[in-house]
Amino acid sequence: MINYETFTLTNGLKVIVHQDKNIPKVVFNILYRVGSKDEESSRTGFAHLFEHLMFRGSKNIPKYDTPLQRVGGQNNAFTSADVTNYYLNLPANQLETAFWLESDRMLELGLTEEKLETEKEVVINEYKQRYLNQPYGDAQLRMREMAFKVHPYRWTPIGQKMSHIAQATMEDVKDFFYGYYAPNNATLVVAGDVEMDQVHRLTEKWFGPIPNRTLKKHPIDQEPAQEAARQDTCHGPVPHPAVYKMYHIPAHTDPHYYTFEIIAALLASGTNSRLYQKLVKQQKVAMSVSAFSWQLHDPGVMSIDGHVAEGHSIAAYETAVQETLNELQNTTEADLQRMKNKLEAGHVMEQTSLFQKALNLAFSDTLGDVRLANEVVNRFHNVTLNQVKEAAATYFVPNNASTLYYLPEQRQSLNV
Amino acid sequence: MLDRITPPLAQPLTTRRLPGYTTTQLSNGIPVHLLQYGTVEVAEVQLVFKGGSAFEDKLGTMQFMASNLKEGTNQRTGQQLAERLDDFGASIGTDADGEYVAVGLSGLTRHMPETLPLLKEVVMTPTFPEEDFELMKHRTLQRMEMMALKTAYTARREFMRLTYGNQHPYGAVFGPEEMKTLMVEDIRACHAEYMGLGNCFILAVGRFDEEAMLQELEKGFGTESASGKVTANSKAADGLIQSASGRHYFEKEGMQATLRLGHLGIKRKHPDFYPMSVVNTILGGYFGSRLMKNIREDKGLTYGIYAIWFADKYAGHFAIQGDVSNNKIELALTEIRKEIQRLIDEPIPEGELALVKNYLLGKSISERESPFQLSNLLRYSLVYDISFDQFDQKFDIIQNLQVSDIQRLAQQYYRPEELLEVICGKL
Repeated sequence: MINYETFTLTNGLKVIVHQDKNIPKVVFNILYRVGSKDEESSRTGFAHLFEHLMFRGSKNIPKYDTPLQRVGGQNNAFTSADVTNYYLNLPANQLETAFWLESDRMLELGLTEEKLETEKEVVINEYKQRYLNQPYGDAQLRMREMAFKVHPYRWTPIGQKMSHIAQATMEDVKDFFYGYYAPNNATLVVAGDVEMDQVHRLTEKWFGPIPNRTLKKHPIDQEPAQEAARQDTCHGPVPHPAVYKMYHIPAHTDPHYYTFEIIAALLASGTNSRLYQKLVKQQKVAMSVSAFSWQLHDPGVMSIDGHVAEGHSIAAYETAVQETLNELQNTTEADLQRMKNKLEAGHVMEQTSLFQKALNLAFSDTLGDVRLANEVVNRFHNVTLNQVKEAAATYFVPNNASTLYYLPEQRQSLNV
Repeated sequence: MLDRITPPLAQPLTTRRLPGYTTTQLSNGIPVHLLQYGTVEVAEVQLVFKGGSAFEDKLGTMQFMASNLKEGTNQRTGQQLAERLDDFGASIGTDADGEYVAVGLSGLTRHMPETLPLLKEVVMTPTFPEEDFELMKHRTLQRMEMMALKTAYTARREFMRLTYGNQHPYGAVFGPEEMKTLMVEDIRACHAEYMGLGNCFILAVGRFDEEAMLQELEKGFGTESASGKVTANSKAADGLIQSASGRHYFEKEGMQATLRLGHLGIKRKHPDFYPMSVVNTILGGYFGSRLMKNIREDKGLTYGIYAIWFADKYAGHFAIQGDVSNNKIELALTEIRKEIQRLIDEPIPEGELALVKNYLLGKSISERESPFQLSNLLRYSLVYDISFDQFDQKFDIIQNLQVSDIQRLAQQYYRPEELLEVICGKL
């Protein structure tokens, strides 16, 4: 159980406070409800580039990192399709420094052309290092494009093309900032060795004077139901064929969503899981296999990825995957209960991390209800055997699937 | 009007001391260390054995012995074991490092009575089925083919080999050749030799009732024979180190090259370990480091560049690593050398030193947050024979460092003329 209290400033900033006095530390987590899904299709990768720029100094503070490190703090951030999240770890008695830093960069950035140019280079290097210079590294980019045809989930947060990042201008940056970085578009979580009235006072002092802003939010085109199976093949400097299968699943806010988390656990969590046992251990057609929900806010995707084992055909691999999916109909009450216990224990273990707790609170709030942070276990427990079987039968069908075959360069066909 | 320019008054950094742990033993003499930590009702129990890669005759034996422990026991198959652990949401992890092999159970405290017997089975009666071993071997070889395509993987391997030489265990990095020659008999023999209960100590960390925990441990492990103490010494203790320097190229296709530069350092127990860690943090140990500022922030040459001051039980090394575009290699190398030289030639500004000290102290607070972190800290202190207090004393050691110390240490321990440069990329 995560204890918390909430309040909202008049400018719209939502604040959640969680007290944990186990160690003299605080996590200051500020989440902006903007991600790559808010980008224009000709300007992808912008939310993430922007996350980098946020560390390049603000109106009154030329250097972001230095004053934080000076008081023993660390920070980082990540950008997803739905949100951009910034978090700071610091000794509990230095909490005010976090308020000072984060409120100033919400107020106004201190960017120059020169900083923008260097940061674009850094992000392009990141693009190369993580996506282009890794075996199968660009698979993620291709998968997005296959699974989504309309929704902006069709590109990844790093961006669809490196050229989009290179083209970003100062004007774009300012436009983006005032459109999305606003108290009325953020959730602040302060967790750790803190007092409620202290957080209240500091929030009023530092964030209170920031005016709310007119958000640039625009309606997002929703993905129409997929009507036919999709397939694509690509080649790259990789040693073995890999197969990526994607199935559309309900939104994270849908009550049935948790059924799919249970299915993912049944399929591929740990060595007792069905895909691992059948594909890796028994039939030996896969070298590795995984299944997980992409955890998107809008209706999303569950993917099943695997590397085909040497000497086995892609067809044999695919048959085994489909059989495993069909066999979800044999799931027993004991299987279901086991997954619930496992997911529940995982949830309890997560609570040994202040950051995980803060993040859970922030995410739950963004999904529409902070209470969800303590409801997750119940949601798992409420899933019934029938729901699992029905979901499996309805969603894991060829017409709802996209398959990407990633083959070694010299191999031109899917047949062995 | 709110003053947004002046930073809020910095408070002096304080920390809470680590809690003490109690040491006792089971009736057969196995040492047990109990540490209460955290508020969440979870626990980790680890059995830590003397052994590890610095003891092996065949590279990879310890690692594969450990990772095959869960493939089956006298009582159940690997799958049945995994299923039983899932029933309680618990997990068993194995770890074979240079100087130890550890097998740990973590999960909800209330399920320890049902899950501790599984830990016992895994440690005492593994069957090491040949089929599973062969499959793991096959999969590892396939994975290695993929790893071999990565510049960072090759750079690291070659760097370790060139830094420590072929005669020292620290220089050997497990690869496909070693994998092919490893047999199931090797890991069975390794288990028989190293995994006797007389060769281990037990630690339990988390939130639990000490009496109840001890009873469970006694029931599981106290009534067994505590034999099998290993008397052999780590081969790293007196292994011959042969260190190369100069530039070494390894050609590999790709958009970026991995650079790895460095030379030998000092062992973990050396009194200059913590002070030198501070110097190295200034150079490349954190986001605001000199290398990051120069090579990432000012020049945009890389996504990240880091300096490591690594110290193992009997030796250590210094390493800088980063990925840069193939046509920026020379520029990056020049700038890296410039930054090392600057620490040797110029005193560090007071403000920068104060910042790094505080950064490290703040980070240390975060490193003692969860019981699982504490469990590993305690294991480290026991295996490396370093008092647990030292993790607290470190705060004073860091606080007391002066500007003159930093330059003196940099002069003493960085040796630019001996730098080994491993470059893996398309030249």
